[in-house]
Amino acid sequence: MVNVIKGLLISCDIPMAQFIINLNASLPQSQKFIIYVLDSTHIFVRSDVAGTIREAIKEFRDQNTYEKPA
Amino acid sequence: MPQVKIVAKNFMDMVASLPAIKLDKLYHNSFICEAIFSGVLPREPMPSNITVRLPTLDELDSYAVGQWECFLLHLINSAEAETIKNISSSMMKVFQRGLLSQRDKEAPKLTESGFQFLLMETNAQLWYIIREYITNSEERGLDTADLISFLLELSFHVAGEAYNMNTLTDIQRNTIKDLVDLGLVKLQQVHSIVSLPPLAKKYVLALLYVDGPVTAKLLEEWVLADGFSKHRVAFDRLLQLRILTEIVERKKETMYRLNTIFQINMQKRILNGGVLPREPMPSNITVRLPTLDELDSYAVGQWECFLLHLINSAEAETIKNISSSMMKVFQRGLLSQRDKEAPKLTESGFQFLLMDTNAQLWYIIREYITNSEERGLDTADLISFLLELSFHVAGEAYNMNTLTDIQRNTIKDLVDLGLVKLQQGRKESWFIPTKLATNLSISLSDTSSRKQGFVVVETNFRMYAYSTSKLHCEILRLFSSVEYQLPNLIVGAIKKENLYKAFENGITADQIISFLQQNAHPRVAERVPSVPENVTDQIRLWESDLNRIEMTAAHLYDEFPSREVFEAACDFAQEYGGQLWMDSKSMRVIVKAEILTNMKDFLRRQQQ
Amino acid sequence: MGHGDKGRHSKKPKFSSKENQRASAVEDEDAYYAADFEDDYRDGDREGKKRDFTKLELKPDHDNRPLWACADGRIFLETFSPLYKQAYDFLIAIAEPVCRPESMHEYNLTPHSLYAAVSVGLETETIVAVLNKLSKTKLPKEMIDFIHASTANYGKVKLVLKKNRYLIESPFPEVLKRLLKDEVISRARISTEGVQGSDGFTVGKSVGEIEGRHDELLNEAGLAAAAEEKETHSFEIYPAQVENVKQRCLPNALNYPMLEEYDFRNDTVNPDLDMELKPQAQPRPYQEKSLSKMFGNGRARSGIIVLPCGAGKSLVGVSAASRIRKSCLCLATNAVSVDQWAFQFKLWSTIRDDQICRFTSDSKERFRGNAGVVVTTYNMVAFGGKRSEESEKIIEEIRNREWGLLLMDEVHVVPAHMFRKVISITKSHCKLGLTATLVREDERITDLNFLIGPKLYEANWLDLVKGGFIANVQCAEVWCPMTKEFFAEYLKKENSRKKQALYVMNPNKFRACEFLIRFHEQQRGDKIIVFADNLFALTEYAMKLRKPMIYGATSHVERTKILDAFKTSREVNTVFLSKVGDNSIDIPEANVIIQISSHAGSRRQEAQRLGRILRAKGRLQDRMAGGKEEYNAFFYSLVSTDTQEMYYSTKRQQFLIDQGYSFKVITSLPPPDTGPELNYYHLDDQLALLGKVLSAGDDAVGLEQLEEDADDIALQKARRSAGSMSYMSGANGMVYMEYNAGRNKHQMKGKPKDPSKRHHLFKKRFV
Repeated sequence: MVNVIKGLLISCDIPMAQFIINLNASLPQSQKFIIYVLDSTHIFVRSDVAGTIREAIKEFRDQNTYEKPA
Repeated sequence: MPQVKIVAKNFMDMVASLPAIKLDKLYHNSFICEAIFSGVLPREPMPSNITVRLPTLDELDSYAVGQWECFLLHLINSAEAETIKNISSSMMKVFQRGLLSQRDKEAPKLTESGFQFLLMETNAQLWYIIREYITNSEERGLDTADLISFLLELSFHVAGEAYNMNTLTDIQRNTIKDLVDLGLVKLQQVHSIVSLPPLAKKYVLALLYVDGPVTAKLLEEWVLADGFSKHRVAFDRLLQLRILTEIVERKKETMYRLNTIFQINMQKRILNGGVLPREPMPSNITVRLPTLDELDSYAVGQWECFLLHLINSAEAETIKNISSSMMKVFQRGLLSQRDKEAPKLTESGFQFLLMDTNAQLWYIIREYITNSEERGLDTADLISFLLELSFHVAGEAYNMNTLTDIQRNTIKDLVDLGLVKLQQGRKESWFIPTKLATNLSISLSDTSSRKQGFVVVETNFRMYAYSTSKLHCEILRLFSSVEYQLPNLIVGAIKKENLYKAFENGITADQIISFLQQNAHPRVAERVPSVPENVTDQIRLWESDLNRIEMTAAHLYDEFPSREVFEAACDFAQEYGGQLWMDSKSMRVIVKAEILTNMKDFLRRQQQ
Repeated sequence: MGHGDKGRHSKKPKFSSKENQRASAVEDEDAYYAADFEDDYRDGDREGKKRDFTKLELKPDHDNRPLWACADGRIFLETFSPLYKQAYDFLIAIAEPVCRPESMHEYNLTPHSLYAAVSVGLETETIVAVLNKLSKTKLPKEMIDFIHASTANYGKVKLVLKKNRYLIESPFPEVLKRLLKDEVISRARISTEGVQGSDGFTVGKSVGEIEGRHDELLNEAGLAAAAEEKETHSFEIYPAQVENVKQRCLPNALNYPMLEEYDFRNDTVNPDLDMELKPQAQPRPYQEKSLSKMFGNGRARSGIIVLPCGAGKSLVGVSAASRIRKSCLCLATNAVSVDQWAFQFKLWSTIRDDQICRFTSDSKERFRGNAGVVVTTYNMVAFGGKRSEESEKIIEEIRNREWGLLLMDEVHVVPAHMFRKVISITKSHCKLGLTATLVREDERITDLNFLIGPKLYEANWLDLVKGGFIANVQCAEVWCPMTKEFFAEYLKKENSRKKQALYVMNPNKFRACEFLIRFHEQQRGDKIIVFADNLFALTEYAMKLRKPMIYGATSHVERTKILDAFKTSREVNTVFLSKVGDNSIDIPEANVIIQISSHAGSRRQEAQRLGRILRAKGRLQDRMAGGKEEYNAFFYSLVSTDTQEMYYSTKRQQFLIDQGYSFKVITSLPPPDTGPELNYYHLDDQLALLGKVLSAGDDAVGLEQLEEDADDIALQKARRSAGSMSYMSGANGMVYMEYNAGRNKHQMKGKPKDPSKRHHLFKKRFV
């Protein structure tokens, strides 16, 4: 019987994939969300983490961006 | 991302794009037939409602002198083996008839006659050249008599008036081009009133007095071998506008004939000639009308106020009320409103704000027309009134009592857009069309020359907009932070946070960039690129930064009993466009969540 | 002061229209800048608010006028106006430039900038009149009031050095009395007996101000005042207290900032130095202009002249010395610079060999005769430890001499405390500071103002480019994506100290660098400098690519060898430099710079590096727009994407962006089809490199730290080990700092490292 798993497919570039993998690794076991790392640009994760991931990426991006103060 | 579609850029397009309009009704108005047909009356000078700047007589004189001198300089310079600007070969031949001599491999030299020519008086020179030109024409295969009569005709035209090139035959057109070199004629590109393609006009004329239907083949026979594509265009256009109607009978070939109503009214027109249904205010009424400049400012002010409503409705503020019919136009896609919430700009709304003014105007007009049915108005009536309006003269006042009630209401709506201004006389009321109205009949393809740009973007992401318009300020706020507002300058900074907000609202980087480019201040518009490259690159990079990851709700399928089942499942998913990822080695496939039920059914069937 | 965007923080009403109202003696920095404006113009918080000045009245001919002036001090200038040149000269004299790109400049009017204006002889009424004339709108009343209030007290007090005595001079005895009410000043006073005049002031005569500038902008003859003799009152102060007294007079305190001028023509006490500019020394227009600001009224004013790197600061310095014609003490940042300055003096002026001498750890020369030029380093003068006997003698002489001109090079580099020391040790009539950037990360620009003097002139980079005086540089930021493995390590918490090493050693960055070097060497025959302030990276890159490298510990001899080869040999076209390359080395013939390691966002450093290639080369016609060498200099900054390096890179570029440069982003270098012809193509190689980086000690992958770099110190707030040998010798010292490149990018704390634990490569150097 074919196995069906519900989740979210993330398709992105290599650095972002690494970021997500690292994010996952830094969480305690109960909160880890990666179901499978499919390849270097695709990851299958739990359905409920879309917001968390986007937030984390946004924060990471902000840290790496300098905006001249007004 | 859904994009605002620019469907109509002129009346033709618009009429053609509206579904199931009873165009017959339109064609009852013989003026309309004429208007659609020709756009301009044959070989009349350009009508004054075409608002384009013609050269003054002085400018024309300088131009003529300049051309003539340049022409003569060619004579001297050919002799000195230099060329300033090219003149046509026919003119060159005129020279070589006696003024220049050329031996092989040598530069041409002035002959004795050439030297004497240079010392002659201008009129004598001109007649000499014309005579040589005419004599020369025979050698070029032209009919001398035709040429002479055309030149004679030309001398009876009015200096300074503009005449349409499409009233000329091909030969005449070439002659005109030659005469440019002499300074006898100046060419000017004018936004042509959009009307039927020339071939289509010919068809209409040909069929105008034909009663019965004709076959498609017959029409095709009229066309030269290399004109087939033009034929198709003309043919399709006529069908689209339902000027040409199809007659389909079973077992018989499809036939075509002119729309009878159009035909009748066009015939009337040609017989009777025609005027606008209304006359402007007679000059004996002494009342102060706005100048054209005042009218322009008024129109711009109205239009901007109108657009500000769009932005401000979204911010729950109102400056001045606009009619409810106009509000409905907005809500058709530019604003969205949920219960008890303030109306918000939709994605289309944001994009709309960054569009070119003319495109915006056409969008609104089209929506207004579509909207009219729902208000119980006859769309065909509305279109024909608008078309008529566009043939009025900007700045002239027309009496309101020449309008029906419905037309009067329409006029009041059009005030909101800045298309007309109302003026109250002592006893009577008048309406004055602005340039916005009269420009409606002009093709919109070449709109870039129209507007004055006002934005300067610097390499350090600062933006300086030479404008005081509140509208401009609001539009700039869509994607930048406004820091200073001076009497004639708005200073802002293009920052990541503002851009991100814009992106979230549905505006694309390309739209912002093309807004900046199209509105570049003349001082920087000549620069290539008009907006600094590092700024446009960065805007695009910021946009792509937002879209680095794509998340799709999906299901992962694995542990297939066999490879065949796996492959079948993959194919199935692909047919539905739902296969997102698959790996054949591990026999795993990921499919869009939307088709879960289909997949399950499919797999169940596979089991059996 | 070049950092005019500091903002207006104070909310207190500082100045009123009453001329005599004194600013309250407030200590905080904020009070320096702000004047309060009517609340109408303020709505809510400061962040991103628009300032609404739409009510200002436009003059009918506003199109012909080049600027807008806003009530909050902000001024906008159209560069395409026919009056641009004059307007620029005027604005740079009275306001701080905020940004100066091609079409529109922005400036800020501040009390300090007005102080500078008055210092070069501009009077209040002139300032208001000219500003009004150039303005598109009627000048806002707030601005007029602000100008009046700020300049009310300026120009009233002078500091004069006469016969080795320091005098505070003023035509207004009541002003002097007011000053003496201050505790610090009254304590600094040397009381004298038996003097005429009330209140114990010495009375004398001196020449008044000659009005002069901006006449062409004003038709009113009335504003051109004639020189007149004025009666002056003065009192003497202790030399050691000069600095304190000056500080008390600044705008944030008593607000009677002192003018320092040197009447060298009438100085009969100090011996003349007969040196002149040689005829072939032809100053360029902007050099002339800066000198005219300095010598405007026939005296020599103290202050700072700001010129882009490569624009010819030395000629300005030598010209100034040649005009004053008294003994000159010239301070440079390191020994190499000392040599260069001595060379420049001899190149441009008629000074004889025996009239000029160098004082460094290697040379202890003396000049002959009564007057001469001494070129030395800040370190040599400021050094507080034990010196050799010979050095001691020389220092004593320096201390005792009354110098006509104190010429200070690269004032933006030197730490403020070192300045203090130098200035308090030496006595000079006129101080001239030369620099390319007034940007400092430690925000100590204001210190320079009162230690040296106000800004006299600041050239516009883009104008100099247009004039063909400096090279037109194409700046680019090359984005190098991190490889998967490097990025994975970068993200790990346990590697937080190696972050910098990881993004610098990114193989994709290496390949981009190699590609660029090849391209410029082979296709264009350019001379290339590669900068890296991370020594680990420097070594790895240079060794892998087999190119010569120079860093702090490289001996003088070897440096000379490499640089000579770079200059003359066709084989040596690329050289790798560590931070030493920022200041001490003069490499006039390079035209490509590649930055592979940009640390901690120092804007000054970015500008400095750019300066290495700004020297204009080639024929003038070719360099003008449309000429075949329109862009003949290239500045690449290689940045690893998705890392903190992006943040630092953008920050560093701010200064250059404000001058009008723009960085083009290049995202696909090397081209995707390049394969093993560039290093680190194979995964194995990449992983080996990664292993190397991870296993190296933390300090080895850190930054090189050079003594003089105050910006580094400010940025990292590290403590240096005191009393090391490196203090004495100038450039040769190198102190290793461990840095913590943790998440918090604003606070980089360091700790002193136990020398015995240093990486073996550098242990031996540290004696």
